[in-house]
Amino acid sequence: MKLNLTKVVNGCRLGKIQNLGKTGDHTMDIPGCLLYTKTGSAPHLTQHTLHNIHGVPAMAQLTLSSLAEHHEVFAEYKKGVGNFIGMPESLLYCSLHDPVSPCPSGYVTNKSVSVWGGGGRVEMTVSKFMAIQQALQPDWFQSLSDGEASCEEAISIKRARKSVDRTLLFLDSCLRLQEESEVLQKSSIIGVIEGGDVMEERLRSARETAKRPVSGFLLDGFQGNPTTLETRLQLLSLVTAELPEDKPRLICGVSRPDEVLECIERGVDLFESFFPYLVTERGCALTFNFDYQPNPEETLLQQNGIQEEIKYEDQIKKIKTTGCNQKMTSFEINLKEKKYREDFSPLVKECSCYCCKNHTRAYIHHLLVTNELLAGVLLMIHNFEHYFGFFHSIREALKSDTLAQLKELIRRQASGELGNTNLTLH
Amino acid sequence: MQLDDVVSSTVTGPRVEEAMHRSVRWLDRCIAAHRQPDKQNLFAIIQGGLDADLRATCLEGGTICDLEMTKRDVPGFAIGGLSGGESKVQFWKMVALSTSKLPKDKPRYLMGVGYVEGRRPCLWGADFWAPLTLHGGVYGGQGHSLAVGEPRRTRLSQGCQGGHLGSPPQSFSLSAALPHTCTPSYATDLVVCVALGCDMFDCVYPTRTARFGSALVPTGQLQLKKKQYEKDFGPIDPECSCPTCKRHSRAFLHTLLHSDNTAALHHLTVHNIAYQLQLMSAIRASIVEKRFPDFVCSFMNTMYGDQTLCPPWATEALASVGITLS
Repeated sequence: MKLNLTKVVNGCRLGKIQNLGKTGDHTMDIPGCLLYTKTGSAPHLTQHTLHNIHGVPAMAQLTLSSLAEHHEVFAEYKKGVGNFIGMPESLLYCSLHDPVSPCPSGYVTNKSVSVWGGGGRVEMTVSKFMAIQQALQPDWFQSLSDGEASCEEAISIKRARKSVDRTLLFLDSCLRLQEESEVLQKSSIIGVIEGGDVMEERLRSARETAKRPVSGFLLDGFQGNPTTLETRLQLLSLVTAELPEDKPRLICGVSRPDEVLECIERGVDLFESFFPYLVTERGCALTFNFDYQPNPEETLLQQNGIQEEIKYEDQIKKIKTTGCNQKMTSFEINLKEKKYREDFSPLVKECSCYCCKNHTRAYIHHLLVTNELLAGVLLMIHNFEHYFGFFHSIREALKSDTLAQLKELIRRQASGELGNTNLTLH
Repeated sequence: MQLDDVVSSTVTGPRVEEAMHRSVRWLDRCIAAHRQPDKQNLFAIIQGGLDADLRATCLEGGTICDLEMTKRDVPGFAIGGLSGGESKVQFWKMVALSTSKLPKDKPRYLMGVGYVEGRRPCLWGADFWAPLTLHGGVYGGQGHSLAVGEPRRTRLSQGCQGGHLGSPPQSFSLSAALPHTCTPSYATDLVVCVALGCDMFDCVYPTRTARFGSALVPTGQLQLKKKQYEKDFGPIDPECSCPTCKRHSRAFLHTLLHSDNTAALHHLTVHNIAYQLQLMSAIRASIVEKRFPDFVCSFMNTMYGDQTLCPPWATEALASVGITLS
């Protein structure tokens, strides 16, 4: 694997990771995201449906929390998780936890880490962890790590230190076991940066992890709600500054468009794509605009104030009253609302996804009201495609040195200034 | 479909006749009110419950060729009022009666197939389905009945897959000749009703049973959530060309069904619909190629392991139209 940086603009890295995969011929663009999956499948989507989405990332994220309990099945199957889930052509990254379901704290010991699957808790020592990875054979996997620092509010220095120590110990053990495993020669270990909010520990973690022969780095413990991320952004910059430039930096638990941009500016390359999934689960559709160079006509319409005044208030109210990022954001519309009952426009006017090309807001509203499974399918298709389109626009903006404009556009929508009309005339 | 007065097929008495007459009157009113006869086909629905006379009256009231027929010149006929809780014997007889009296040059649409006899229509194919009393219904020819509350699970899980006759379940003292028909006879109904002269069918069964983790196969169904499929790395049906079978194994589907990802349900829905379409396509081909009776025999063989193990009601029904299962 080789990371080629095309350019670095204000801390943002634009480039490609090449020679990926078992056959060494896959490529990934950075900044980019990984396809979010649940138990090895994109949520709501069969492979067939997934293939109809434009811009699906080359690498999918699997979670050990959903797969660990099926260890024996994979061991008997022998052909690796990619074949098992019917995604033999995809690159696969195996993370420890599912970003959507936070794990309870208090279960990490010096010898083991636990994940929670459908069947309950699965405790893993390093050897069990590596045995599972041997059975899965992912292209990349997150090394066993102590991420509990991020589960707690105010973490003590002692606890932060422990998380770094344990994680390094786990990493060294994993690397050792990998050397002894023929099967895992083609898999790459991603080192995990811990340390909570304690700067010294964060720096130590970064420097020490960078000394190991890992293929990339996962920045753990920056997840939370938008406010907590803000306080950690400076720390993030300091951490990435310690990491080698030629290895990818992943972050977990950060997926909102505004947060993504903040992290890219601080040297992060890869993100999880669970945000579109969360939006789908609450019956919402992503409608935020990432077309920072709209055509003149649209700009005029916008300036003429087609937006409904009422919307601003709603958006602002929602943002002010909710701190948790599981509530609706201003990047989306809620299709359950009555006002969409007779809205025969697509979710997003110029979106080229299957849902927008074939269906209306009114139809999605109807599906939600009648509790049809199809609602989830169509919304997931749209939300994924919209999100992947956003990442594409980030890369384009970096190419043309116009990220500032994109950032401003996203910022204005995050704060509710622009409302959420999608410029549709009623 | 016309607006009709539907009454459960287990209801007897004057209510049935009332519903039949009302349905005929409503048909006339529908025909009169129909504004787009050139764009939309209005079907009549034959009612009459399980009463042969009433059904015949409904039919003839709707189809007798005299001046009335011109007024009731509908493009097609639906056979309704069945697939409730009636016994299979009564079911097939009413279907046969209906088709025998309907014009040959118009489509016959049987509404709702695939309910197991003696039971109220409900979720089946599901392990967790709570048992109901069999209303003295015949279960494959044996007069068994289950008391309410008895666990069905043991019984359903034994020998319910493939065309094999499993050993009798230990928890019930049933005769060794317990037939394979503990699986719902959805596909059998379709084949038999085609033989009886039906052209079109609708049923929620394939998609509903998919949502409960049940995959339709020529030998019955697979309850993929069961542990036996945990390490079964073959497709649902090696002969099936649907996207699910082309790419995924039973083991993967088993795993996915135990997660909260709805994709599992969609995989099975796609397969079950494909199964459905494939079955009907095979039926059509066999009719066109003048080998439908052979097709039926072969179908029963696969489904029941042996033609002689086909449920008696089906054997009778097929015999009534000249198809003998050897």
